[in-house]
Amino acid sequence: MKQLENIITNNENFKTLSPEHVKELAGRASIIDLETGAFMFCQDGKADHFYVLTKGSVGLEIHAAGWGTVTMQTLRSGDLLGWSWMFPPYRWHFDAKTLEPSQAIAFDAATVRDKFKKDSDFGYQVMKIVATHMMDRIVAARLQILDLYGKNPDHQGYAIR
Amino acid sequence: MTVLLDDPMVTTPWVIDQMRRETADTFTFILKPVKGHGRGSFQFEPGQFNMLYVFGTGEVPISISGTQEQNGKLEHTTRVAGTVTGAMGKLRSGDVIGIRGPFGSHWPIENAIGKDVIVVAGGIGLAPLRPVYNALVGRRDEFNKIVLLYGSRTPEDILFRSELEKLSANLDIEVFVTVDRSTMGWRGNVGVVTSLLRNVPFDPRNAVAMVCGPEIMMRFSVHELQRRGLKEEEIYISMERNMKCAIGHCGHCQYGPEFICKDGPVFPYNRISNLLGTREL
Ligand SMILES: Cc1cc2nc3c(=O)[nH]c(=O)nc-3n(C[C@H](O)[C@H](O)[C@H](O)COP(=O)(O)OP(=O)(O)OC[C@H]3O[C@@H](n4cnc5c(N)ncnc54)[C@H](O)[C@@H]3O)c2cc1C
Ligand code: FES
Repeated sequence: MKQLENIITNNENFKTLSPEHVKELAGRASIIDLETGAFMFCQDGKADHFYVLTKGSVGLEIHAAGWGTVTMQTLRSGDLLGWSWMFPPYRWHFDAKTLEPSQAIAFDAATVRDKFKKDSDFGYQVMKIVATHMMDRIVAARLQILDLYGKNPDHQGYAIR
Repeated sequence: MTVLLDDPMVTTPWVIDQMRRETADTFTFILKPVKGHGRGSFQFEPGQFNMLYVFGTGEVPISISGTQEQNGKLEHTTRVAGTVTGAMGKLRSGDVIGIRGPFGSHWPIENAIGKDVIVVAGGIGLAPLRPVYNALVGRRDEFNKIVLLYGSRTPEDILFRSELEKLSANLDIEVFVTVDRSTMGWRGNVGVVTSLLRNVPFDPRNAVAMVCGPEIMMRFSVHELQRRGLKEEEIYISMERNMKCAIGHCGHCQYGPEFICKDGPVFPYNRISNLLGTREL
């Protein structure tokens, strides 16, 4: 339990949480070890956990017939993973697959949501963390769509002859 | 008429000794002075640029991406963007181009001594930073942590790939490469370079960051560095504007009160923060 509290306290995402709230989260968490290629969750599966990666890296992927598998983002040690656990119907939108031996803290979503109902301050503080994480992802996705390093779309590019 | 060799408006002929294709639209010229026009070894500071003249087409500012001190050769890495860079891409070994320079301010390597150094590059922005990471590694003992973050469009667009792989195998520097869009066979990071900044190890109380890439990428990188607690005056960025004279005379590159060619291109962020992102000046 103390080890979990330490990891949460030292994680950049949770730095705004009070020690009491860290304790509450740690009480609803466990450490999981994952082999290379393990699916932490799969598209449409039940979003009953959210995670903080503590070692290794994970690819956030989408798979569709005709497209194959596309990796949209890589998450690394320290990153928060998952927000589908907050919103009904609590289903994952993507796959998360480890790219190397990895370790994560898995938080039990149902009991965290229960605690939200009883302790609105705890709910607000955790919600702020998840909202910040969502904002970061939206900004990152927009930058990816912008294709910043590509050609100016209004002008024909040249290739080297 | 007597022409002074040191006249900053006079271009000097250099011959393309080698043209190295880096990616589908980017190449490196390795240049040597034309006999009789040399002026000893070419001295420059990392971050400075030269004006490259394609005879009959035009002149563009291109950063110095390296020198080979032992033989006086000079390296420029260019991405084809339009008329002049397009014409440059059609030149071959043995062709001659004109060079004026070096011009402009440089990256603050001396200010980084004793500090953690975070180098953040996006796209062709890696080229002006190449002399920086080579200098940092060459003087490894003078700096604390050295981290290089590089964002590229796709795996095929990664510049200096084998050089980065060698660097990354070297424990002196931590190298993180990410691509905006992955393609088949890529097993590295996917995501924008700014998202790497969140968990990168450095001490914001004693660090300096050098950022080069498209303006939007630099703006978001600066936000992320500030969020990590790095002071504005310890964040340096390199600005790009169209240039003509490169010596502060014509006003072509004026950016608010600054001339990018002479006061820049490298600026501490606090000096131009109020200008960055402004639509019209
Ligand atoms: C200090 C400095 C250092 C630089 N270092 C490097 C470097 O190391 N490597 C490098 O590759 N580049 C570098 N650049 C950028 C390089 O100078 C430009 O890409 C180059 O000047 C473009 O010239 P061009 O004639 O090839 O393109 P232009 O024909 O001038 O076109 C330039 C861009 O503008 C677009 N464009 C063209 N016409 C229009 C129009 N009418 N309206 C709107 N957009 C238009 C084109 O599509 C293209 O994207 C640097 C710039 C500066 C200021
Ligand atoms: S290019 Fe002439 S003033 Fe800068």
